[in-house]
Amino acid sequence: MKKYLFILTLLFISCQEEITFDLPSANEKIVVEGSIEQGFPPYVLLTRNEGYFEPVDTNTYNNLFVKDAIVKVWTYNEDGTKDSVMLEQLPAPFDSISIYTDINVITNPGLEMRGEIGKTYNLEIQWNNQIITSSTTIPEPTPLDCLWVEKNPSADEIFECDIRAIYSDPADIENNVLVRSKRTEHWKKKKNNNGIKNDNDPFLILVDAGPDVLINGESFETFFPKPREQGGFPSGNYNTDRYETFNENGIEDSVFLPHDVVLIKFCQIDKPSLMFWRGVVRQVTSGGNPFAEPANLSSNINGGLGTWTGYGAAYYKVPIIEDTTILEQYDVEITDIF
Amino acid sequence: MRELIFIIIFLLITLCGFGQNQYTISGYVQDDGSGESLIGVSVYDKASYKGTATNQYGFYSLTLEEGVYDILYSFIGYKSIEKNINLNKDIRLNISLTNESILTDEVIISGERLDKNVNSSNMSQAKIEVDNIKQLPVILGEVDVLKSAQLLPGIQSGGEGNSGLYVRGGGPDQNLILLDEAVVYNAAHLFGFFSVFNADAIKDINIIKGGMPAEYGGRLSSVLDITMKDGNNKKYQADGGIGLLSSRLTLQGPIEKNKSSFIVSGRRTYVDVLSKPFMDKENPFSGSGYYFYDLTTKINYKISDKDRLYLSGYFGRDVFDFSNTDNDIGISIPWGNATTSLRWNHLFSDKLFMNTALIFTDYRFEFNIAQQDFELKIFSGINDWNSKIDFLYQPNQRHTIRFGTNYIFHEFTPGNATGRSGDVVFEPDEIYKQYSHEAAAYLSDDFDVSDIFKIHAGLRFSYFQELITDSTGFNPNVEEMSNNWIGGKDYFGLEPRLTFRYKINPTSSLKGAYTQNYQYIHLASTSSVSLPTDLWVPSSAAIKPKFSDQYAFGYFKNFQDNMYETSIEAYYKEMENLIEYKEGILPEDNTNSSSDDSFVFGDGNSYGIELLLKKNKGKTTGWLGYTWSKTTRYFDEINEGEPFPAKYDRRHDLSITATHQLSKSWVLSSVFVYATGNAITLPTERYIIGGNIFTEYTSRNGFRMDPYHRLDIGATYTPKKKKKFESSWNFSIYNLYSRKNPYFIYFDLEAPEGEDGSIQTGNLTPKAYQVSIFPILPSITWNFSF
Repeated sequence: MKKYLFILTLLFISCQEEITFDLPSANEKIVVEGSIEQGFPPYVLLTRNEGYFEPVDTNTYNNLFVKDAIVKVWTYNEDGTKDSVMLEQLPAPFDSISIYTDINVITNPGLEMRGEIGKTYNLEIQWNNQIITSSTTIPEPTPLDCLWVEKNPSADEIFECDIRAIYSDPADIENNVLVRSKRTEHWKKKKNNNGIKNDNDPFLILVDAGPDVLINGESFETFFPKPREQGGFPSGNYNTDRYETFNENGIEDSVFLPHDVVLIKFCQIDKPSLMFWRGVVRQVTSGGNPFAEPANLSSNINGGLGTWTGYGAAYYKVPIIEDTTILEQYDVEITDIF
Repeated sequence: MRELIFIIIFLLITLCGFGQNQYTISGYVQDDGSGESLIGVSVYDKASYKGTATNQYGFYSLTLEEGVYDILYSFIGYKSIEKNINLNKDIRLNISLTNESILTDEVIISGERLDKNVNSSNMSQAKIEVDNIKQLPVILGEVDVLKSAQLLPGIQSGGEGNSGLYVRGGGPDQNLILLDEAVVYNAAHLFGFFSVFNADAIKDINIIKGGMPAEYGGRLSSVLDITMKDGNNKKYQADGGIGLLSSRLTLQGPIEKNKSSFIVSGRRTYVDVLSKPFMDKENPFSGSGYYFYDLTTKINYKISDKDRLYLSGYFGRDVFDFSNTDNDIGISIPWGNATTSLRWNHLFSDKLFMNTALIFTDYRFEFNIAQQDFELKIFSGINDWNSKIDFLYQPNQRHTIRFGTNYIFHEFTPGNATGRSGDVVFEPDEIYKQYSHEAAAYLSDDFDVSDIFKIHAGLRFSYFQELITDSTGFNPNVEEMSNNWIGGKDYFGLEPRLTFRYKINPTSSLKGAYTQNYQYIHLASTSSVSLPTDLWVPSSAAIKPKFSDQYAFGYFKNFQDNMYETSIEAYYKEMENLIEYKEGILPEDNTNSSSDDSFVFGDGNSYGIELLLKKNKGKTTGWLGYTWSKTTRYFDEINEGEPFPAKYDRRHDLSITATHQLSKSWVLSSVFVYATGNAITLPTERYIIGGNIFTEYTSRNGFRMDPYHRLDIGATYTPKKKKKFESSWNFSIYNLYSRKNPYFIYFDLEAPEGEDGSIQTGNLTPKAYQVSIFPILPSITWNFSF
């Protein structure tokens, strides 16, 4: 919004004042944030919506989670048989938020339902006497040709780098790319010259999502900017090894900070999922254009909000060291996929 | 339909009923000082009031029975001329009228035959006098024809700073905006704050909001027919103005005296130039700026008494640059219109006038963004090649017959993108375009059935065909695969246009109108204001033409020897096949492809009552316009199928304008407007995805902004003319009582000052803000002429 206000001020004199609206109370809806990708069980986070002007206090967050839903996922095999699983909430210590999954992943590892490329997964949720449904497909992943680290030519500091990559888009297939990234290592100086700490990103952050309309069949160089904390553009840079100089108690000193390590999740998603995630990127990036016709996120959940997304994912672990080239995919653990 | 064809045949037969010793007096009427032809001059027999008016080219033809007549030529702002004519043969008489302000150095006391509004069969039409609107107070000194049009009843503005016209419940794409007969697709500068028309180059503005005559078509709601000045064919003249926002200069003069002339008029804003020195180079936004300019030119040539040629052109561009060095982003958005019209007027006889035109129209929009070595360019546009022939046949004073044809070849570029990443260029194999044919033929007659009953009956036949690529793509002529354009889905429509006037007495009449219209091209908008990103898309197999039915009924009454003109009109309008983007669709989804699948279709209706009270004579003139109306949309796939108010649904709309001649050198003016608040859609719910808060909009246009109201005042000071040099000062105060009118509303979840807020920490407060622009704004403009 600030950007638009800036443009307005640039052009005209403007002023703003707080106003009040009497909005009707919200219809209670379930909000689904569910995903399944190849080699991993489905995960579904369930929350509920609220009226826009309902107050936000310390209880708000905890009250958002829906813990009393019945969640089922099923798929059909090539031979026509059906694989079905009831999802259960993760037990303590993960139970502060309501994540539903195939609990075999904890109780009987190896027996859980795992996503397979090309299959369609159906989701059914029973909650509040409502039946909420959705389905998604895991597309064939399209790995990157290679990635490398390069100094950002226009950055102020010499340790600021970009992750660049070559991507060859498969021709004749309409596909949709979604990219997430997280810094698994991001070192910072502690206060009071008390050493350094790893201030890594807790989760993968959405970088961008888009169709291949323009790039279909092309092989080209691209780059993955560091997303903002809430996701999307504009972007920042990653850091290589560097010394941070500081002045504490009149004494000049410096501390060595190791380079960032970045996990890139490069995915293919189906069209309904793209419609949703592209809307997310657009909203976090633009911050709400006041002139845009009001647009809701395009959900693929029947009877609810949110998304049920199948990811055809390829992972890359990139240490931010200049001229490093990565050719191989990274073999992820379950904790890496979030 | 059969009845209608019958009526037309009947009318044509009645034409033959006249012809005993009738003679025609015809010719052109022009301004004595400049040679500029005058449009809408009343030419009539003083005794019987039988008469006609000059057409768009200043031509008139009046056929009367043999006899002696006092023919009066009268036009607002001009000294009337009376000619005693012994009509015993066909007479050609060109007339020059003298501008009264030149004669008396005072403002006009009109000599026009002012009961025109009562007498004519036209209804729901209005003429805007350019000289009149130049005296009204205006924002930042920019005289704006579209904003002035919004002051008329039945025509609504889209809100603060919006020059879009919303006529009787129709959207901004339902207006046919013509500049010397060329269609102007985007009539707005600066995202709608100003219109593209430079008032200095404009001679005449005619607005038709209902009862659309058959010679116009292709849009559902209205016609804004703007005629450029021809240029002074007697002497060289320069006019200009220096204002706060922009400066203007117009040059005109004879090429060959009394035979041909030219006019060139230009305008440019200079906010960008003025603000640059104040913008610190260190500021990350330095390099951002905005300007627009436009250039209007016209030349005309009188080949003979029977033939005239006109060549006119318009070129305008807006350029918006935004740069942010913090993240290396550079954005440049240029857009604009260009039009060219070449027209030939020919008189086959005193009774038969022809106008032939070749017209080219171009509208284009570009959005360029660059970050590091990535570049993206999105572009769209529309080109029209248009040809038309119009005939005006006035066999006797009872009939004015118009007929003609029109053909347009449309080329749409509905949204293409190219990009570059380093050395790799992304380009579609071919720029995606859509082509179509649009054609029409029409016939109409203004028929004085008797002294009290007059009708205008017209029929327009329209045709539209999209062109599609041959599905095989195989062109046998060149024996290779290629784009082979063949005719695709086509549509045709019969559009009856009927109006009647029943004269109750010399000062009052009843009028009614019924019209049908088809519209074959559509503006697809994702925005609440007219933005240059809006796309024009053609009808196709998937997109049906829009269609409207309109009924109007009115009572017209003049008082005190036409000093006061009043009217009340009621209308009801139904519209079918209106289009909107599907939920969740973004314009770029159709990048380099057809947008046929992007839309949902629905219907709409609008009804209302419009009141007009106008004072034409005296030191104080002006009008009061009031509209009560209701406009609803019905879309199965929007608002869960429930009817919803249109964005520009407005229950009350009031405007009052007044101009007062204080002394020889001072003219005061004021404008007051009041309008029901705009309908808006608000986010009513919120939820969380990935830790971010998103909102959900539920009731389409279900909320209202605060009402809009504003008072402007102005004064024009014209010092005594010195030799040839004349100048005037225009002082305006916009929004005198600094009303904070809502421009837009946004919602925000705010954290306490200096803290990072989040749902998790619970330190957010939901708030709603209203942003207003344009508080009290004084401005001054200096105009000169020599």
